[in-house]
Amino acid sequence: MWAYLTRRFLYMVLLILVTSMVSFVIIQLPAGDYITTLAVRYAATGQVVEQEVLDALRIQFGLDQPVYIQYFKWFTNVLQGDLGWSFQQVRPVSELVAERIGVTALISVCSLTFAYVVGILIGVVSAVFQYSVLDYVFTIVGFLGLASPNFLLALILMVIIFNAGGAVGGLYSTEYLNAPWSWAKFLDLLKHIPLPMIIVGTAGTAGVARVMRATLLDELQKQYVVTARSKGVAEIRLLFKYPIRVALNPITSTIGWELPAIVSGTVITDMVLQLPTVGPMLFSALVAEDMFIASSLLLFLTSLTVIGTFVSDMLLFSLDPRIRVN
Amino acid sequence: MSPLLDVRNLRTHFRTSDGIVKAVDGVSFTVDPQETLGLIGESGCGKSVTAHSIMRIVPRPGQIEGGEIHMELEGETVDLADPALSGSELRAIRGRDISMVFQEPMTSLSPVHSIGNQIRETLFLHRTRDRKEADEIAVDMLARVGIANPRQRINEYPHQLSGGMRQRVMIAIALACRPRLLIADEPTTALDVTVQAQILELINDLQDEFHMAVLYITHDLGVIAEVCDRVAVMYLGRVVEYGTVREIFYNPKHPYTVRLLRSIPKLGHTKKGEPLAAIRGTVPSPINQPPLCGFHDRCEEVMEGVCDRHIPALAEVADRHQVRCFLHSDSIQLEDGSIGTLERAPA
Repeated sequence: MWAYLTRRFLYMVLLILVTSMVSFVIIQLPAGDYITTLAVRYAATGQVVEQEVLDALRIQFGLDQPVYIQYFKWFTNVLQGDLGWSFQQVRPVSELVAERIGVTALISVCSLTFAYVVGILIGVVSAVFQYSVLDYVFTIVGFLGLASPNFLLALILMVIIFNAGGAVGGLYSTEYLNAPWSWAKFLDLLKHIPLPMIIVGTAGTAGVARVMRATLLDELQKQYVVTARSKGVAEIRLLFKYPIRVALNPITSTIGWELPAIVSGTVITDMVLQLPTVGPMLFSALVAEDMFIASSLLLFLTSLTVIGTFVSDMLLFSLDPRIRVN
Repeated sequence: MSPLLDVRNLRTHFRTSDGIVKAVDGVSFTVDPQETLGLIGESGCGKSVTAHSIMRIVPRPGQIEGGEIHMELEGETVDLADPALSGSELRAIRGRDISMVFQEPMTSLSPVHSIGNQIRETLFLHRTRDRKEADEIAVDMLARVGIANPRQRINEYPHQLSGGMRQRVMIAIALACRPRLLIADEPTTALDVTVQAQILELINDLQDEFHMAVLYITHDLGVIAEVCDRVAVMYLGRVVEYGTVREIFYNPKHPYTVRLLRSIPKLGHTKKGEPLAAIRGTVPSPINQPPLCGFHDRCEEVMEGVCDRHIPALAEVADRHQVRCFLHSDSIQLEDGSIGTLERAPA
């Protein structure tokens, strides 16, 4: 058991190392670098920047060196807790990420909870009352939720809510935007949360509901359910103790995989809703080849993906006695 | 002595989109206290549905359409087929007075609950609310069904046990509340032969010890000969022959029973190269069955115009021996369950 865990941990570290290298290289693959982006931007406004200035900037940023040296420098700094600087904003990356990560996590946790709670409930009702009107309604709505892109749903809901006089876009009303944290600001935040929570959550809800329905339908047929019934266990108690408990395994075990999604947010939807999350930041960093911020975020997401998978395995390990080897 | 279980004209049908499947269509038999009745028949003849009907756990869309299932419970008789019987009354009987062991020991236990948990569940429901006492009983039951180290096994999970061991655990669960009737639905079919013999012996021993009756469902004639007092042979949802083991084995009357017994190969009695005496044809689908003898299309002694026109009624042919066949009686079973007389055309 401990040998297994140690081995898994070592693989994890190795995997994170390799992905960080690969992503660092991939970010640099497009022709040019941040300085080129900068020059193009100046050129667009009619200004011409001297070649010497650009070269000086390149040396200052260390962009004149080969990729592997840049990577090595950046990674040793990361290990010491220094994520580097954002070229665009001329601020430390850690500061920029810290600003957004709390809000991102808040929205993600809310929408994930929404997706799982509502999804599991719908799945259970659909399976227990299979082929009932309710089941058909949930199935149709579920497929619509799965099939329609979230940003489209965001736009539609924004129009509806705006016409109804509600708050649309962003996470705070304008008066609280730069205000320090207060009770009133928190309440204002609570008012803005449900919209992104529902929009970001719907696709997940539909997915969870489909999986829950399918697994539960499978489990309801199993012999052990009949055994429990023959013992005289009441139907509701039986439902929760046996088939639902077993059907939850595959779903609970995937929660770990959502870990990276919790901090990344969703790019397009968040842009539409003007949410200050990590997603849009990563997007603009990639476009501008603002590589330290992009690499840091990617490293962060990779780590969380790997850790999340590990957490999933551990969850399943504790949930299902059949998997506890030895 | 009045019977412990008295099933009268039980009809359990499945209303499917293809038509009505009359899985059980007028089954009657009795089980005396401490007796073993064997219910034998091919796959799909309605043996298991009969058992499920007695437990009232027939899966949808199956439904008991008619008949009575009288169960003797401490001096009073309850009709288990009575639709007015409430869920809680039924659940109090299930697992306490009647319990059941199933065919698939590999899947009939929950994979994610410990064995102890699954034995305690039935004890908590019917015998005691005390955890310590329940644990004691559970350990004792596991020891009785022949599981070594019961104190340690009780915390293990089904996947850690072999098929035979799981079936022993199932028997421990079924007998934990000392039922008066055990329904064993092909409990040895999925096990290998040596384990089969052990399980049969175990059920036999425990039956004596616990003074319970057993309704033994099987398609294995050998098992019937081994453990049963009386036998009901089922074909296509009906009991076609019913009597003591001795009568059925040495004096079979119904062509189906005769052919069934003849189809068993006998060691030393079969000549080399001689084909097995299998019954020709297959069991027809019980969907939308017209009123006729279900066996008529496979029977070698079929009487045209008789067997394919009416349902024969179960008639006494010897002491404690009944047969449902026009070769042996002229009684017809009518649609409403009453008995009529066949008018044979003069020869």
